[in-house]
Amino acid sequence: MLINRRMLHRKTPGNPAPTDEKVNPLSYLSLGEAGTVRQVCLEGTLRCYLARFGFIEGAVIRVIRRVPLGGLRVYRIGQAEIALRPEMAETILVLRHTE
Amino acid sequence: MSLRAACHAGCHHNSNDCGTQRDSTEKFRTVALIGPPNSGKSTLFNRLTALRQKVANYPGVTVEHRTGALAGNSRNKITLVDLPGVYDLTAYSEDERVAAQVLHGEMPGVSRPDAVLIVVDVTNMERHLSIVPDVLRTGLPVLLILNMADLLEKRGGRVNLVKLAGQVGVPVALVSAASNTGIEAINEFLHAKQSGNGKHVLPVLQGPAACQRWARNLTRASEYRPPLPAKWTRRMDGLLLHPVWGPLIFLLVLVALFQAVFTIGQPLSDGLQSVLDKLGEMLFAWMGVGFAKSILFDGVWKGLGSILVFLPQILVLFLFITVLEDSGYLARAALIADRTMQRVGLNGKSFVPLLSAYACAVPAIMAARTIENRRDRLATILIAPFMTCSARLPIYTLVIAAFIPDRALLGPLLGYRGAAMLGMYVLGFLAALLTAGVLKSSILKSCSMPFVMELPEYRWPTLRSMFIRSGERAWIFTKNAGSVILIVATILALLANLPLVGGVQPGLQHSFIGRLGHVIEPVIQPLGFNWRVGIGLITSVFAREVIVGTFGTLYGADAASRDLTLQSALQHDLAPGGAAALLVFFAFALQCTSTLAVVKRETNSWRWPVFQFSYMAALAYTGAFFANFLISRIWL
Repeated sequence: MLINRRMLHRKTPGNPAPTDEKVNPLSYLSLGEAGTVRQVCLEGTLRCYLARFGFIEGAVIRVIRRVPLGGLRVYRIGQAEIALRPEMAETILVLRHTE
Repeated sequence: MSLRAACHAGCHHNSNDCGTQRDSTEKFRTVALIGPPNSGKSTLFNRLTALRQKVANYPGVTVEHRTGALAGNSRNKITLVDLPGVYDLTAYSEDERVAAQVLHGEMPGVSRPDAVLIVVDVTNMERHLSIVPDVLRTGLPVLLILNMADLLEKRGGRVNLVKLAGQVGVPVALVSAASNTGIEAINEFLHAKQSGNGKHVLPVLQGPAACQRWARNLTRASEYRPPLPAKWTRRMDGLLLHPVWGPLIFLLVLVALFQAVFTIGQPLSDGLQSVLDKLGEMLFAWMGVGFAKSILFDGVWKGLGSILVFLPQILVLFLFITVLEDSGYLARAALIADRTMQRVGLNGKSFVPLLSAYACAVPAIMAARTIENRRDRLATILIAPFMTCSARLPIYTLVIAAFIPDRALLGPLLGYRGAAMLGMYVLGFLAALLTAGVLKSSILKSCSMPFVMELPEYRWPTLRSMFIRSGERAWIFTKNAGSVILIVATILALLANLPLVGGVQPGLQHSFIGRLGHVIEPVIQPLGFNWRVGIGLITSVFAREVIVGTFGTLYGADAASRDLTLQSALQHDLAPGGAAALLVFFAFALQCTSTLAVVKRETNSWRWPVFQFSYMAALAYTGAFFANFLISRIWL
């Protein structure tokens, strides 16, 4: 469950990083923008922990709010609203939806 | 509506893992309630058992298992076990471990459940159903309860129960625990003799991501139409999480809370004081003047009365806290505080127990079980007693009302007294942050934790919940006054009137308690305290509020102060420096045996409570010394 910078930026083995230019870390999405999760660049328990909240490949995520006094952002996944720190959002690669 | 359904071919069959151990004609004896956080398990538990287990609107309210007998079930006794919220049976935190242990029959003192009620929030079904495969794998008979049916219907959602039951292979019930609909389906399941072999068709799934995908497909297959997003929640968040208004409202909420303690609580408290005085005079009028009256009226009655008058303030505080917890604002406050908590090595998850500690440190320390990282959890446990709990309220209110003028500071919004009270809360919070920073950069250093929090929808707090929770707290406060404080007041009253010299009571200075007080006086004199405060510091080791009862008894036993109010007696007895020192001492010291006991239980060692008590005592003494020194200088 403990994280450090190295773990955050490690790519999942056997799963090359997407090269599509529309694929960006979740933290790059602006308010109101949506994307589909392509890859969660974490391993083991951290990956499982995020999966519990719906951060899995194929999930559609929309940025709905920025929390005052900090970098937290609130995302909508299905019917749930989940708050996540930017350093964790960086590990989730999403395909930007063009609207 | 309850439905039983056969196993469906859509799932893979894993015969090794499934099947129940129960005899098919046997009835259930122990049934567990399990489900994701904030899905309404405790509300349902209360509904089924007619108990009053705490419920609120944020994830992580229940941190330990609670048992209760199914109500209206005299012939066939069924014990229901309410479990902490979990997303699956992989235990990351202490509360999740409790849920997994109970379900696997590994919890000492709790029989292995012979059936499970899975409670999910039907408005968030796609994600919540991911718990089902893990529970099915236990092989126990299962009823899948889709809770909050009223909200689904109200917001235009729907689900095909027949298809869902067919897909999962277990009966499904659509209920609303809050509005008491659909409960008969649960009773039907609990009382029915189980037919068939009870085997489940299990999905073979590896990890939570696969469970989530399974849940998503299941939701689609059951023709689930999600409810429309809660407009009210969006609007409220637009305001309460606004970059400018959000923090301002957060501050305003806190100011309103502390000002209400004086504006609403103080007049009620004064009224109660007059009632208790008159009642005491009536009750003890027949005794005349003498030893017995000194003990019972001046000692015990005044000691008890001096603490009971704070009941209105306690009620006001708890009404406010209940509104914050039940409305869903607490979770938002945790988000706003996350950056601050991050700076001292913790995260917003630690803020929820800390906010609960405004009520009482004991449940707050237990609420730290939701924190996954052991070192973060320990740090939260060690700093929780710095938060201003309700037991500090009597002494704060007494000293502030005695020494701070009742004048407006910011018009009708905030007075000097409210500001002083707010200052005490801020002081406690800063001490907690500073301590956390020191601990997390030294003995409890660890890597940062991912902070992920699901935001609950806003809900109107119900009057019933507000009155029940405030009433319970008032009862605990009164019970405490009737036990610990009654015993302390009686012993103090006796010691203040003995030894008899020639059959006559000695003056307070020459009584046993007076002599003891003078022995300890040199130690506390640098803080600006006299011997009476010293006695209060000793008795309040049991519980903080005991000091006010002690003052009531001691001033009541002294002929010079007998006719004064407690505030006036304190004004005569303490200099402003001593009063400030007393406030600072109580902000920092850990005078609560219940807290020490729960810290020992949660850390499984005496090492941490001893460390915590010593550290806080040293900080309290040093802080009080400097407060007295500085205020005395300014005053002179």
